[in-house]
Parts: sequence; structure tokens; C-alpha cells
Amino acid sequence: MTIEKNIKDGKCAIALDGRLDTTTAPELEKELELDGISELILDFTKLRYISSAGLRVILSTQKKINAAQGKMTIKNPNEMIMEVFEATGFSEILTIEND
Amino acid sequence: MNIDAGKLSLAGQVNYKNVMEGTPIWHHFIEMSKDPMKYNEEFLMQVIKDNKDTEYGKKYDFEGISSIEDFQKKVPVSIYDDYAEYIMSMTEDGEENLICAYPILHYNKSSGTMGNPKRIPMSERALKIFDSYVLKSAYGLGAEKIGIDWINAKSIALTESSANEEVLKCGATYGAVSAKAVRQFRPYLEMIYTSPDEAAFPLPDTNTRYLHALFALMDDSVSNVTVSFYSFFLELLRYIEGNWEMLVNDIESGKIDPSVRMSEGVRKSVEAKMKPMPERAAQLRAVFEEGFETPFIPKVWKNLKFIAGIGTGGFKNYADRIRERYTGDGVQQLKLGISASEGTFTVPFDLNCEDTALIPDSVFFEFLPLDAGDDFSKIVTMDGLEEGKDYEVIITNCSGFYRYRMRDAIRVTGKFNNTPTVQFLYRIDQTVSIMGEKTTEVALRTAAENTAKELGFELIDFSVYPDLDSAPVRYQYFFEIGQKPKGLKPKEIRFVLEQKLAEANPSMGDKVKKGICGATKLNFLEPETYMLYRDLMISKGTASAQLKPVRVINNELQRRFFFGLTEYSYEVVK
Repeated sequence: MTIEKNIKDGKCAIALDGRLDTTTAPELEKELELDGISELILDFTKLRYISSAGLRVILSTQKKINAAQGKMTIKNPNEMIMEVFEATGFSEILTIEND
Repeated sequence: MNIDAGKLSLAGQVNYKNVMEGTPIWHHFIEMSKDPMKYNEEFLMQVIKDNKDTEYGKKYDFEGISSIEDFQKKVPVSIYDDYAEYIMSMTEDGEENLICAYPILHYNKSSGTMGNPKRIPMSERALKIFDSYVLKSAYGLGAEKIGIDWINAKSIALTESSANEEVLKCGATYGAVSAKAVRQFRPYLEMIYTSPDEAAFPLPDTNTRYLHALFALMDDSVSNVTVSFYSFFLELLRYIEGNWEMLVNDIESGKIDPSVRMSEGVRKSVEAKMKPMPERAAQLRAVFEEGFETPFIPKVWKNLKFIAGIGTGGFKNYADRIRERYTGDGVQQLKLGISASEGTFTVPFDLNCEDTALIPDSVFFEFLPLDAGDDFSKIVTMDGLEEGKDYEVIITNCSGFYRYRMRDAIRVTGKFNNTPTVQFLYRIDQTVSIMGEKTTEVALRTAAENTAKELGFELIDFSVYPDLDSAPVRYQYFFEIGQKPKGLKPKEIRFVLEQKLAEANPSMGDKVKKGICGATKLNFLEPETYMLYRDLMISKGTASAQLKPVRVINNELQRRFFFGLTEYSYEVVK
């Protein structure tokens, strides 16, 4: 998986390409150690797959952003990932947007 | 027990206090156990007398009740819906004296695993009973059986709680009662338990498993483990096994590995509590480098005497796994009794024992034989129980519930003195019956565990979904598997599972054989699915101490979650 990260004016945009699974989830977790960020955009346009380990990273990031009263948006998840979000109940706690 | 309490550490003083307070409670229980009906009847009569002027008491003429027979004639068997409106008025409008004359200080949030949480009232008196019998009497028992040379050391306690308490409009607190107690002792927790405050009251992004594991490993003097459920401790041990190199490196350096998730603030405050411990790290490294074929706990915590927690019923397999893989036989298991939001029902009377004994002065007990259906004329009191028979528990407590159906099934296993001993069997509403086969939680569990045992794989956890949409209807099992023998095929696991299910419930086996029910489908979950489910439910507000294993998938959230995280499946297609 490749991770592209852009931080500007308190906003952070992270674009993921590949698979977010047991092997790659710790890499993303490390990149998400963000302080002073009020808005986080996770661009899933090129993400092909998410596993339970990936979901755990997303869940803990959402909790952290909520605690800091910030905003996290998941952008353009593919159909399969959207199905996983809906199946697991994550779609109820995440903000998901499609361009 | 001649001990100079002034020379003890704070942990020692707290343990000593619990032993000193627990010992008379334990002795009182022994005394009651010789004539349990006397104490149980006294309990009932006191509750009836004290509550005669409540709205419920007037409705059912508590004033005119002078015997158990009167009580059973006048007061109907009840369920939560019978109290829901009263409870709404109590919590939202602050009305008093509706179902209970005693002050209600707290409302338990019942387990969300069974659907929407209910508000279960808990009176001041019930809180005292909870305090006495959930843990303190176990300290008394422990002191009698193990002695007290362990008291001057910290416990591993995996308690986690939100710092803030929810308060209802009526002023009573709302949530898990165990979390309430933890909050009260917050300033002292680090002196009693190994875990730091940052793990006990975690911020949302803190990796608490790491913190619990790190601080427990740092302390070589730990003498006991106290957890809500044995499954929590097993989860920690698995985490240690999978991450020991990082943990040991961090103990050596006194710094937290950068990959461990937590905010900078938390990292700083935790690191301020650490110091480089090269000697301890070397000891631990030497132990873990030997591998995990033999139990590591006796080498890591040489003074560990016992593990206290709920380890019977659905938690037995976790307790067994801890003994087989991590402790060996040298660490005692103190399996706590049965308690629920509505009351504390049983206490342990021995170590390493699956049976616990009914407490005669905690609630008034009635029992409906499981084979009696809803025929309430078959209800018996404690003295009418038959050994080997299964019953539903019906309780009258001191928080406003009268002849309340718990929907818990127990088996009578024998007697402690003259008091019946029981084992928790299953939640009656978690029985699966898609074609009248009535497969209990015990049977579902036995089938899964025996499959794992026969084929030699590690079953992390499992759930069952009654699939009514397939034709014919069938069960779908979900397995999360850890280590497994090389070459073991899904087909083989499913085949053995079907056999074991038929052995555990012959009625189901027969129905599958005749084609009335379809062959069981087996779904294999992604790694750490059950851990994710736990994290998700906690993030949605369920207290960690109330998260029981999902045995029967009975709501849409669970159904979608487990199907969504299925990695692959195996089924028989004709």
C-alpha cells in the first residue's frame, strides 16, 4: 500500500492506494499520529480492500478526532469497502463522501 | 492474621482491608448455608414489609402477605416490560415509591448484547450486597484457602472506564456498576493495580492493551489477577505472546515504541512513569526466547497466586485455555459467582471450581423447571430444587423487581452444606431453535470446542447465526481461528463440526440427517474480528465489563458485522 500525506493549515489529506490489511494497517496507524489537526480526509479512491485490522485503525482515528472535536471524512470508498462499512455498522459512525 | 497493616504498601493495605472485610462476609455465608431457606424467607418477608406502601406493593396487597405461599398467590411472575413505565417515571420525573421503597442510587445499563439496553434499578441495599458478595466474600474464601502472604503486591486488573459518569434526570447514576466503583477509587488505582491511569481511563486513541501488558510485565511482584471476565486476561496474554519483543525493548529503554498508538500527551505522561529496566527486560527476554510451548506465567510472575474473575459457563473455555497455555496448574483460579444487573446470585465456595452456591440473603429465589414451559404452578423455592435438573431463575430483589424472570438457565449440581450449588448454563433467549430442536448455548459451545480439540486448532472465538433464509433452514457458525495444524482444510473443520453438533444436540443431528434442517455452513472470520467487535461496541457506549461473547447472533448489527468480516466460508452444496 502507498500512502500520500498532505498537511496544510490544520488540515490533513491522506490518500491510500492498495490494500489496508493486517500488514499495512500499522503503517497507516503511524501516519495518523497527528496533533493539531482539526480536519482529516482519508481518500479511499484507490484503496482496493480493507480488513478488520484496517477497520480498527479507522475506528480509533475517528474516536480521536471526535474527542478533539475535529472532523474526519472518508472519500470515495469503492463498492466493496462501502459494503464492509455498511455491514459492520461503521457507516453509522463515519462521514463518507463521494465526489 | 497478625499483620502490621502500617508496614504494608497501599496495595497491601487495600488487599488486607478486603480480606478483613471479606472474611466475616464469607463466614456469614457459611453460617447461612446451613439453613438457607430460613435466611431466604427472612429476606423476602423484610422486602415485602418494607415495600408494602409502594404503588406496586399496594397493587398486589403486600400488606396481606405473611408467607411464601401468600406471596406466590398474590404477586404475579413478571418481566421487564411490567416495570418499564414505572422506571420511566422514576428516571425521567424523579418519582419515588413506585416499585421500591429503598433509595435507588444507580441504574444499571443491562448488556447491550441482548438488544437495546434497559435501565435496571439498583437500591442502596443492593449496592451493599453487590460489594459484599461479588468480590469481598471471595477475598475471605481466598484468604482461607490460599493464606494471605500474597497481599502486599499489586494486582493486574484490566479495568477500563470512561472518566465521566452518566447521570439521569432523577439524579441517579447510570451505567455499569463496576465502572462506578472504579471511578470512586481513581486516585488510588495506580497504587493498587499495575496498569497506569492512562489505561484505566483511556483517551479514545490510546492502545490500552499495550499499556496494560507493558506495566504488568514491568512488575515482577504481581500476586493476583482480578478481571471482570477471564476472556479479558486471555486477550492480554495473547497480545503479550504476539508483541513481546517490542514490549521487552520498551521495558529496557523506558520509552514507548513510536509505532504504539497514543497521543503525544498520553505518551509523555506514561513515559514519565517509566524508567529503563534492563535487568527486568533481560529476565523477560530470556523467558520469551524459550518460546511458548510451556506456560510462561510462572516464570514471568513468580508470585502470582490466583486469578479472580468470571470463568464459568460461557467463559470456561477461556479459563481452561489460560491454564493449559499460560499458567499451568500452579496458579489458582477463583471463579466468581453469577451476578447480573438485577442482583448477585451465587458465590464461589472453593478454588478451581465450576460450581457456585446460591446466596440466601441477596435475593429471594424461585425456580421454574426448564421442561415446565410457562407452567408457573411448577415453580419451586430453593428447598425444592433437584440435583441434576435445569431451571430458569426467578428472583425478587431489593430494588423493586418481584418474581422477575431472569431468563437465565442454571443446573443444580449439588450442595454446599445445605445450600444448592449451581452452574450457569445459558441465556434462555440465546437458545437456537429453528425447527424445534432447541440447541442451547452449552451445546453450541461444546460442538465448537470439541471440534477445535479434535483437530488441534486454536479457536479464538465463535458465534452462531440461525439462518432462516436458506432452504432448508440451517445454522451458520462463525469461527475466528488462531494457530492451526499445517494442511488443515476448511472442509474437514466443517465436517467435524457437524459431527460434534449432532453429538451435542442429537435432535439437530437427526434433523440434518433427515434434511429437515440444512447442513451447517462454516464461516471463517478475519483475524482480530472479535477484538474489533469489542472496540466497536465500546465506542458506541457499551461498558467493557458488560461485553459478553456473542454466542447467538440475534440482531441486525451483529448479523451485518460478522458476515461483513467473513474471510471465506465452507458449505455443502448438493
